[in-house]
Amino acid sequence: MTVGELVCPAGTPAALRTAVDAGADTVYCGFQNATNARNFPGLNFTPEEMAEAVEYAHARGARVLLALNTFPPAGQFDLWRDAAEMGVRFGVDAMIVADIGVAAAIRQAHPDQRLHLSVQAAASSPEAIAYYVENFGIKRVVLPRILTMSEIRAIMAEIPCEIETFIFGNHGLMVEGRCSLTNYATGLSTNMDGVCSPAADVEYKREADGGMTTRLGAFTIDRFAPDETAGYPTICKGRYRAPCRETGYYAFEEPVSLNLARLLPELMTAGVHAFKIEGRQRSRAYVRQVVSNFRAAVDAIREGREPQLADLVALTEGQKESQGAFQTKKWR
Amino acid sequence: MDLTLAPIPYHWSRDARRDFYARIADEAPVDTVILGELICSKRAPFFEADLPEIAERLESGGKRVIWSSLAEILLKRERKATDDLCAVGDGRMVEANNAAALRALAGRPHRVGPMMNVYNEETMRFLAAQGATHVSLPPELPRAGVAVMAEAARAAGLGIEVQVFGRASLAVSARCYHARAHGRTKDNCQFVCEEDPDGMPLATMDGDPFLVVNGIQTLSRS
Repeated sequence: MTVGELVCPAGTPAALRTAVDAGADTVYCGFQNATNARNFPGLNFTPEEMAEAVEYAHARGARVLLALNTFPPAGQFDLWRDAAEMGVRFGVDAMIVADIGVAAAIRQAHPDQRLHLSVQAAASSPEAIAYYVENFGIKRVVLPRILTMSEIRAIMAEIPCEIETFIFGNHGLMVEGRCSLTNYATGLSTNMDGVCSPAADVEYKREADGGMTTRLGAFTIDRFAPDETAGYPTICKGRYRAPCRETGYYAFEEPVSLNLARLLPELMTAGVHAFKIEGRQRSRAYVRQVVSNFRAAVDAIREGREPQLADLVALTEGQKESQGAFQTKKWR
Repeated sequence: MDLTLAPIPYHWSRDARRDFYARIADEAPVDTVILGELICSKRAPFFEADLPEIAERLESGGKRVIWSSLAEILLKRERKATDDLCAVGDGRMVEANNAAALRALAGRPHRVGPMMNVYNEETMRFLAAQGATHVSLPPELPRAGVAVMAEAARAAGLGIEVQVFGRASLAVSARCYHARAHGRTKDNCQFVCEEDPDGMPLATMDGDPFLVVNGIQTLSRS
């Protein structure tokens, strides 16, 4: 078992090649449909592209993970079954699953297929993780972004599989796989359709005072003053009014992104097997920059050198960043 | 067709809970009542000592009592509470709302709650093989999916449940948004959620009603 495997986002075939060339140990990607949690227009892989992507990665010593991490609604299960079938045929190294039925079906049809448990399964205790390991032979769990370092260490000591933690990128506030806020505002489901704040339902409206209102579906998510930068309207990063906060406040979280660069040495010492970089919706330039910087930092730590963490910290400079729950329980 | 009363999602006082369930026992035309704390383990000590008596009262009123597991399990005390709730031998019927509870209940009859993401027949089949007798469907499952599930449940001799009244649970988080609204954190929340027995409404900046906050849970406004 390695420590610090870099698991990098590949939203398109070009991004996949970029990530592999920039030093990704592993890339994760999905098909162009609801079987994965980043089902955005213009993203993801056709079956032919997936087959080529696996070949490209394997020829360069990198692994490919197929994201099958949504929840099939009753009556539509075959789309997920077919996606798994293709993944097996193309030789993906592991499949990332969240749904109990999907895990059970793959386990039965393809008993040798390596499975990882998606963060969407929301397994946050040793017992919950053990449930998936014992029933479906899960080899790695992607931990929810809600645990502190000491909780991660404690869980690692108790579970019989590898762990993967997020280190960089978008930072959702709700327990993944247990959030239907987008559905409430737009009618599209994060769990079933693989979308969060779909662009087609987003509206930016310039106000008379020069400010900007952002909306998702029928709801105002934030209102920015003329001197503020308007962020993308995501419900859990919006500003609302409560009886005790009448002028409005970020009820869930400010629009921050996750950057665990400073915790990287500690995470590696703890023996975390893999680090996940979020961002299948991001550009190739972004993927190249983030992956190559984290590659250099992980290599430096492995070789006992001082990592250039300043470069990683700078990746989110100018934006608000957070170490989320990882640093302290006070986040909760 | 049975009617089930879901657990009280909010932080009500001991007295309010006892009064409420006394009325349910005497007056409500429901068949089944799910008791216990689903949302926040910090609340349980305030009322859990009353639950056996409440359960007895409900049962003597002709109701079937089911015990809810926590939706979110992170801390030692939450893990222990789940183990205790699901312990073999005391004959309680438990509704699992977390995979940790599913694991503890496997091989014995139990129910599967709405937090377990039972979206399809394959998941339902797997859970039934492990002892589930009833599954509650996610509120967001579309009608066509519910019809497929109902058919599959009938064939398998399984009970299925759909929510027909009340706010929909839209999300849970590790963070307590009640505490956050009052400048506190979950660990020093001072149980501020008790001030909002019907949840804390959130309106958009335009003043439109939008969501309701209940500790770590976010619900629809109506």
